[in-house]
Amino acid sequence: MSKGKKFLSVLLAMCVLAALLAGCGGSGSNSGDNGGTPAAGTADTAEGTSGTTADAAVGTPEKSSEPVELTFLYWADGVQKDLVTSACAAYEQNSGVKINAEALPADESFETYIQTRKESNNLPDVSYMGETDVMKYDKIGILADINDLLSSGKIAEKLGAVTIKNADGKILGVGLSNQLVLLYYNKDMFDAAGIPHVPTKVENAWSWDEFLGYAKKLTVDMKGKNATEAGFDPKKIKTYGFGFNCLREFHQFWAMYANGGGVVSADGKDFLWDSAKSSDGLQKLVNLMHKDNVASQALYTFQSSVGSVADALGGGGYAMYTNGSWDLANLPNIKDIHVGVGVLPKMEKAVTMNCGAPMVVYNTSKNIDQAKDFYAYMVDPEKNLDIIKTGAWLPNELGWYKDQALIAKWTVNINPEAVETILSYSTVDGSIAQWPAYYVPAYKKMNTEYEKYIDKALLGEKPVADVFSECMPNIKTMFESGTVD
Amino acid sequence: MTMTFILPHAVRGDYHMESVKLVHKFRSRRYKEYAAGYLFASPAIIGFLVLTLYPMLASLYYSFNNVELSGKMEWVGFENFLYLFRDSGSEFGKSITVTLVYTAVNVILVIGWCLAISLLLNREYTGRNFLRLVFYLPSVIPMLATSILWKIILQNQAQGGLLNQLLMALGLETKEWLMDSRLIFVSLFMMSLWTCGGTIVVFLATLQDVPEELLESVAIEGGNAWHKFRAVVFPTIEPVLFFQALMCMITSVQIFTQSVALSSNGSPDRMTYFINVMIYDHAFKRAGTRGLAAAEAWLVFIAILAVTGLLFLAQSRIQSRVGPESNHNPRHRRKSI
Repeated sequence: MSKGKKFLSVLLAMCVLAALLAGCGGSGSNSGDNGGTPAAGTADTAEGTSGTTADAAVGTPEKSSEPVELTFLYWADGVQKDLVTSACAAYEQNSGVKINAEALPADESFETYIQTRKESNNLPDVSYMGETDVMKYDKIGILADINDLLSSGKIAEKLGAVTIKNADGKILGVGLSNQLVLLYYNKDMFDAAGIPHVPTKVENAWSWDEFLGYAKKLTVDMKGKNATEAGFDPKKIKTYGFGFNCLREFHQFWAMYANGGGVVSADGKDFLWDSAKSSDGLQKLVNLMHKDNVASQALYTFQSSVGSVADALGGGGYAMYTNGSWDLANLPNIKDIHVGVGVLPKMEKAVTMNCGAPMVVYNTSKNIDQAKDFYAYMVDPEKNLDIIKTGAWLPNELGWYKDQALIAKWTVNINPEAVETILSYSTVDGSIAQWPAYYVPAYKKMNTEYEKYIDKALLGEKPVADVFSECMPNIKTMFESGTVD
Repeated sequence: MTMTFILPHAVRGDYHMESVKLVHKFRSRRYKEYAAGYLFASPAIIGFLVLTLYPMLASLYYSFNNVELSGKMEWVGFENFLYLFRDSGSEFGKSITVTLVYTAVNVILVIGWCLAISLLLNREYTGRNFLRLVFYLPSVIPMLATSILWKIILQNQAQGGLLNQLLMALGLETKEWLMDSRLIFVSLFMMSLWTCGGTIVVFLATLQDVPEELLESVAIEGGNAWHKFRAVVFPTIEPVLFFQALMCMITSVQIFTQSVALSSNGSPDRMTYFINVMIYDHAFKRAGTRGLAAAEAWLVFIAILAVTGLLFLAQSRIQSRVGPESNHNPRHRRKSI
């Protein structure tokens, strides 16, 4: 064999080996040990079903002469992404810490991404986290303890509704924002049909029958007949009176609470999901799609979403539409129609449900003090006023809903009806049901089980009560276990 | 290679040593050539060992363990496999069922459709080349983009769904193409047929091998298009048909992108909870089910291997009855290519 061929073959083999070694090696970024092992400092162990949470930075970290860089992972679309980017830039200017912010789509792929990063020992320093995932990762032991931030006053007391606690009451994370499910509507369609605008006060919320009557008048077929008129064809609907963003979790749970049922009681002790009132509440939503013919089909998946309020109302396909309060940020982009916001209709009571993803700090961070400082910054409504002013986030502290000076600060650019609605929900006792993901350790596995069955009811193939009788015994057992897995 | 010569005794000893040296020299050269060959093939070999074989063996080991999110493993033997078949909470049965139903129908539709289209595109007429482009082009678009595009077409008319808006314009009833547990398969089949341009091209190329004189002889004997197809065309293209059906079966069983693009959790009613989607769900979305995902993946692998083996066996038996050279025909290049 010629020397040239030999050299070439050896070179090829070396290149492949080098490529493999480079690909299999670590990235050399912030994460150090494998998940569950604290990077440094004292380990603080929490008892109970939540397992262990290690605090990696009680001691003073070594000061490095190199500028500190933090990796921050979050999800956002459109307007929110720009706002978070600005917030990070402002923090960089004030602190001198560089924030490498990575935005992912606001869908279910975020958790998969975190798992992938964990497997490659490349967890970020700080990230958003799904409300249903915090307890799981706390059990694994990769979340840093943030209670020192709360006890020292670096983080002010947050709304109970967005504070995630484990079974022992230890705070695992706080929500960036207190999102609520709101009712958006096309004012022009309402005016054309002679229908009064949606109330903005909880005490004035429409009864279910009132709401249904209006929805029928607003549901119009190709021939211009509405759902109250003879000859209306439900197979050729041009405009639906009502639409769901999707029917997943809190998008449907509010109806169970509104009907006097629920998922789990606020103190986390009673299982309400299998009650007749819960199934009846959900059945009312299902009937909107299959019996009353005023709503298009939605399922237990985010992919069934009709899109943002701009897509749903702006396109003329829907007269009313439920979605989270984050969509307020998109209202200024809607030019052709007038959009109103109001309270959801009541069944036994007028209730909405909250959500609001928390941020977490990972104990694998090599700059844990700086990571916690950034965390405190991001969850402070004063520091993120620009985002809150758009309505993309809502304040996560009670004072911002009661102090008139603070209210004036953050509501200046938000749709006035939306402001009234949000303040009404926030000040009337019992009108916001907290999403059980915040306080039920077994929630994720309960929800995974529920997901297997519920589409049959949402498709109208079986009554909700029948589907509940199939799945609730198992779900209740999971709840009673009190464990994350 | 050895070289020997017939020489006088006195000289023979020297030449014997020389011939041994030659033998060593040539053997050494052969080994060097072998070594060079292996070195050139080493990237592929190393890649296979590290990126395919090792993960497969690791996955096999995982399938006999409970693998927690922290990475901790607990040996459970065949428990994961038994869970899939025995436990009422297991969705393996439903997932396998929807996968097999989709695969069976999709293979028939794709092969039938592609064969029909390729026969039409094999004729001579104006605009044929443009039509070939039209049928082939969608196959080069990434499947995720295709799924998103079809979602826009198939969603509810109030959401801007184009198909439903067309139906309404024609005075017809609208459908929930993506939310109905029966119609979702129709939507998936439409997507599949739209993207099978590659198979059409393969069939088109194979049709060039059909001997023209045999077609003419069928025509002379009074046969029509069906007789030509049955007696001449089909036997010619049958091996390619079989191979394409096999490839279609393998890719259909592995359907994933369309499902996650449309629903991500198998909606409606788990009708798109195909086996790959379930494996992905258990491996990456849920906690503590990685071992289960590995068990599922191995079961699917063994099933596909078994089915593929059976199909090859059946095909070789058919071939042995018909004869090994029955499909060998001289090439007849048509002006149309």
